[in-house]
Order: sequence, then C-alpha cells, then structure tokens
Amino acid sequence: MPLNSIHFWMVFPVIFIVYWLIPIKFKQARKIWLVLVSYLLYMNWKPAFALILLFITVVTFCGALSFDKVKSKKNALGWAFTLLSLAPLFVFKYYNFLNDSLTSGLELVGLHLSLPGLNWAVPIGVSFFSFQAVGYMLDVYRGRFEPEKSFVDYLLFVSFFPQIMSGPISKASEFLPQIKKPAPFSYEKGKQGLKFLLWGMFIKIVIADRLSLFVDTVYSNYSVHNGTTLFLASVFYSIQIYCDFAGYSLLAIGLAKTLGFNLINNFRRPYLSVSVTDFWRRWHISLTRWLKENIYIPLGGNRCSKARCYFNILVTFLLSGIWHGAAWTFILWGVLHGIILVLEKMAGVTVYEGHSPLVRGLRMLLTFLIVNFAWILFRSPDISTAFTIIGTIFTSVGVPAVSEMGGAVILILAVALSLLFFKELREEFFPGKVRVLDSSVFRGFAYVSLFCMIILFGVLDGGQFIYASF
Amino acid sequence: MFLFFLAVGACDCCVGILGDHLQAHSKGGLTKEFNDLVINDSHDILVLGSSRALHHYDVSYLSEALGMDVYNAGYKGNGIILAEGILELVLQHSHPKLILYDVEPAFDIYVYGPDDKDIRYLSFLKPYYKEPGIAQIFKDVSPKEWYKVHSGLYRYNTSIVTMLAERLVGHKMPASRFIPLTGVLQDDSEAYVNTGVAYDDLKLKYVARIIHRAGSEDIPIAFVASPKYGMADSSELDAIKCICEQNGVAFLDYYADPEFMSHREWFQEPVHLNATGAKHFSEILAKRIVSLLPSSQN
Repeated sequence: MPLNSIHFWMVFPVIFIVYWLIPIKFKQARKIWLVLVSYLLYMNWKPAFALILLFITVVTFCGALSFDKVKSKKNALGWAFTLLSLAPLFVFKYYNFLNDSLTSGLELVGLHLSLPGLNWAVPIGVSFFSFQAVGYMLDVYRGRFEPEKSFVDYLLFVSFFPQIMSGPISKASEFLPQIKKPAPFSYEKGKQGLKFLLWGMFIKIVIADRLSLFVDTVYSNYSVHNGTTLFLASVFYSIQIYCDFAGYSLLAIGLAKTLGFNLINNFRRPYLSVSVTDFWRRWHISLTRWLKENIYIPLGGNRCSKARCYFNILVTFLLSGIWHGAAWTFILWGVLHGIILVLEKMAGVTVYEGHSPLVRGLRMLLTFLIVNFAWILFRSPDISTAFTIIGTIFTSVGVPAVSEMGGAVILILAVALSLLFFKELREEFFPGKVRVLDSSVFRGFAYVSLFCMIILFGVLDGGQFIYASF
Repeated sequence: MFLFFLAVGACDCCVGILGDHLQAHSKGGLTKEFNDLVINDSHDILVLGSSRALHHYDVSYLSEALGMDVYNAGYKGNGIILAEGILELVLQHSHPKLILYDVEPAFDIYVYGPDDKDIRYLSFLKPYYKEPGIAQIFKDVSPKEWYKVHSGLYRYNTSIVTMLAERLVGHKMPASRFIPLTGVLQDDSEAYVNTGVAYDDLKLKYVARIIHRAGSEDIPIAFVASPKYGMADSSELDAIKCICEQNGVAFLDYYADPEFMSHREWFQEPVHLNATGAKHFSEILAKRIVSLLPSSQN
C-alpha cells in the first residue's frame, strides 16, 4: 500500500496506537504486531507475493546461521545462499529482459531461439528488500555482524513496512539493534517524525506529482515538441524524480521515527553537488553504500592499481544501472555515470575545496546538467527515443510549451520550488543562520502552511512512487 | 498538536468560505462560465460531452440554422459523469428543449487507462456538492469523496488560484463556447480503438441515468458519435448503442462516416475535427436534429 494513499493514512493511526498501547515489557508482542501489519500492507497489493518476501527472509536467515556453523566450504555456501536469495529478483525482474536480449542477439547471427516469456508482475520493492536481506547475510559472512537468532526480529528487519517499498536499504548493524531493544515512546522523536512526514508529503504531492503531469505529457508526445520544451521537461523530470524518491524516503524515515526507529537518511541535497562523484555521495545514499560495501570494495575498491580501480567503478555502476531496471536505457545510464566518475577521478575533480562561490556555482550547474541529461536515458522507453530527445534539445529551439500547464499550476510550482530551493540552499550553505526561521512561532506557522498547501495545492489522486517499480 | 489542528481547521473553514464566495460571485473565466451554465442561464439546446463536443459543435451555426439558442457544454477530459451533474444542476432552474450528448468511449464506456479514477470527473462539481442530485454522484463515484469534499481546502484544491486570478485579473469571457481547432492531420495515423479494454460499469450506469433523468422531465435526448479519423466502424460504441436502443433514444452515428474518413484535411488529429471539419459536421447535424426537436414531433 503506497505511503501517500488515503487508505494508508486511514490505517496508520490504528497501527500507531496499538503499537504504543502494548507495554514495553511485551516487546515481542510489539514486534509481532509490526510484522503482521507489514505483511498485511504488503499483501494488500498482490497477496501471493508475500511468499517471495518470506522466501528471501527464510533463505538469508538460514544462510547467515549456516555461515556461523559451517567452517569448510564457506565460500561455496556463501555463493549458493546469495544466488538463492537473489533468484526471485532475477526471475521476476530480469528473466524477460535476458530472454528478449538473447533472442534478439541470436537473431542477429541468424539463429532463431525463443524461450517462453513470463507474464508476471514484478513484486513491489523486491530490489530493496532483496538487497537489505542479502546485505545482512554478506555482513555475517564477512564476520562484520553476528547472525541473528530471533526469526521474529529478522522478519521485522526485512519486512518493516515504511521501508519495504522503496527503502532506505538499512544495514543490520543499524536497524537490528533497534528492533532487539525497542525504544520507549518519545514525544520529541514523534514530533521529529511528523516533520519528516510533512516535508516528504509536500515535495511528493505538491512538487513531484504536479511536475509529472507536464513531464508525462511531453515525454509521451516528444515528437511534437520543440527542443526547449523537451529540455524543460527533462529539468522538471530531474526535480520530479528527486522529490518523488526523497519524498518517499522522508515518509519512511518519518513513519519509522513515530514508531521509535531511526532509518538512514537517503538524500543530502544531491543537486548542490560539485561533481557527479559528489552527487553519488548524496543521492540514494543507502544504495550507494550497499554497492560500495558489497561490490566495489570486494572487487578491490581503490586499494589497487588505477586501472583496476577504474574497472571497479565501472562494474559497480553497471550493476547500479541493472539494479534500477531491466532495460538497456538503465544499463547505459549506469555505465554513463561510471564513465563520468572515472573521468572525474582521472582529472582529480571529484571534490571542490576552493572558496570561490562562482566556481562552486558553475560546477554545481555543470553537474546538474550532466545528471539531467543522463536522466533522459532513465526516463525514456528506449535508447533511440532518448537520443532523439537529446538531439532535438540541441537542434530545435523554440518557445517552451509551459502554457499547457495553466497559470495556476505555474504559480503553485513557482512557490513550491522556491520553498524547496530556499530550504536546500539554507541547509547547505547557511545552516543555523536566519535565526528567525527557527523560532517556534515561525515553525508553527510553517507546519500549518505546509499542511494546508499539501491539501490545497497537491495532486491528491497522484499515483505510485517512481522508485517503487525498481 | 491541538493548536496545529485548530489552526488547520480554521484555515480549512476560511478557504472554504473564500472559495464558495469566489465561485458564487465569479467575474470571468471558466468559473463564471460554468456557474452561469448551471445556476443562471437557460438554453434551448444543450450540447454535453468532452473536448470532442467543445471542438466539433459550431454553436453559432447551429443556433442560426435551427433558430434556437444552442449552448456548447463540452469540457475537456470529461464525460458522462460530469454531464449528468451538469444536467442535474441545469434542471433546477431551466428546461432545455433538446439535449445532445457527444460520445467519447474513453470517458463514457471504458476504463480510461490503468490509472483511471472516476473521481477526476467530479472536479467541476465539487463546489455544488450540497445541491440535490450532486451528492448522489459523489457517493456513487466514491463514498470517501463525499466526506472529503466537505473540506474547504480539498474542495478548492488548485482551483482557488485560478478563481483568485479570475477575480483579480478579470478574465474575458469568450463569445461562444465552441473552440475551432486549427491545423491539419499530416499522416494517416488513426485514433486509438478501445479493444479488449474493460467496461466502466459506473459510466454505463450514468449513460442510462442521464437518459432517465432527461426523460423524467420530458426532454428529448440524443447521443451523437462525431467522427474519428481512421475508424473502420463504430463497434466500440455498441454498449451505448444498446442502452439507447433499450430506452428508445436516438443514436446519431458519424463515428466512421465514409465522407469524413475520406477527408483527412477535416481533422486536426485523429480524435478531433479542425474548424473545417467542425463546420461540415455541424451542417450535417443541423439537418438531422431538426427531426428530434419537440415541435417537429407534434
């Protein structure tokens, strides 16, 4: 059930009240309640797919326990359990893509072979909970974490409802100790959680969903628009995907906080990055960390020759592209980011330590443009469409078709984007400055205004989160 | 927390009162146009439907040809559910002589895409949710929507900005609600055909309901399928044709009319006629609907 749906918000007060009504001495009952709720919410979409979630949970739980007991052939066992726990991800998400690619590839050399396709939906959030569970198992395998003995605790670790659909991908060392020792109710933490919820809802419903109306219209009819409109749509998509995904992450973090749990912050103002390398330190932080710990470092990381290090970066970003989706557009998007990271490393421009606001600003702009053009690949249905759009941007200048959005929507977006821009700039460059903004009166006014703006200006019948389909 | 919700409640009431005032005293733009249609004005012939109604029915020509006041109440992206709401409101103060409903299968028969939610057809009706007949539409579409619409913030979501702008800037009213399209269909692309798409039972229920509502006031109603380019036949409209037949209502079928199918230059794109096409269509229609008017039946 999406966290932005009215149905969820009708159910959540019950989840919250029952959870906190269970006395802390019955902590097992609290955990069972959360497991039950998490599974029921997940089953609300397609009940049968809860079995996939349970399968991955059981395999990784048993795998981690077996690493502790078996001393010989641990390597083979590690591979076996990893492949087994990733099997649902491969089958549901990548089988059709591999089948189609193989068939097309063989046809190029004159061979005709076609395997039956699978007409199954991809279980929602499978990439996220698979990686979280496999990450735990690999941590145990490498001796970084003791295997979990309580199956109920582990069930909750993998299925915790705020993060199951789109992360953040938690590490066992961060989240399992919180599950083992549930925190007592904290008014301050609850209040903090509600603030996250409010801002997350605002950027998702008012900004992302509103921008999507324009972006979807332009991308679905890209051939009739001029380059300026396509460029504007690409910029709007960059903002949309950020607000959509960061909005979801804030909702997940906020919900978890109201239940007494802390989740990793997934975003840190990514569009104020001074390089693409910097961007990846700020964008989808939990996935970047997972890939770094489980792919990049095991490959040798940067403690090897330069050439090998560049290779490691490329492989990591290739896998990042594949993780995002079973299509050549995602693969090319991942490889492109990998190449840019390698080039930045070669040129020594991964960070900016100077003090010139102009140079910093220009680097931020350049980084945004690079990331923005890469998102065109990400958003397009196929590579040729992406290149057509990019080509049109550079060859056809004209009046952008913003009037299609209507004056009211332009005004709403201008206000909402200004708020986002101001908040991000203040947090990045002037934290703690403009003290009046921290006064309780101003904050109270801001919270009421945000809440009203969500209902008054939001797209209230907006759809799914973009990252939920990954 | 209490103060927070108190402040939100106060804002909700204020926005509701402001929105209701702006709606009732609108001075221009779409708000005034719609308000006049459903609250103040009377018209002899009412054309209801989607953008296809808006772009295809040249009301100036029709008014002149028929010697009657014809009003185009087609609204982009809308269909039978809004039309039924409009009729409920119009019937509270006027009695048209004829109602023409232009059919668009996506809005009147089938589920329009995977994310189609019928609540989107309620946008125009939100300010009138307390009016007789309208409450039932909200409850039919979604009982939750009926409760949500009591919130002023929700009721005037997004539209409050437009209403304020119309009030402050004073948008001009167009002379006629017929909007002719310019441009010519360049290639032989064809309109999307709704084959294998699920029926939307609520939409079909409302087709029958609008027929019965007009019938209860002794107002003749006719369903018109205006042309779509590249159509081989009008079989995708069978569900509506069947309801019309069961209720003895005229169904004027130009959906795949050979004359229009052979004139690509009459279309702006497959779903919409351009100004030339609309003129031809209105000429043909004017001759046909004379027979539907009450005076001709006596």
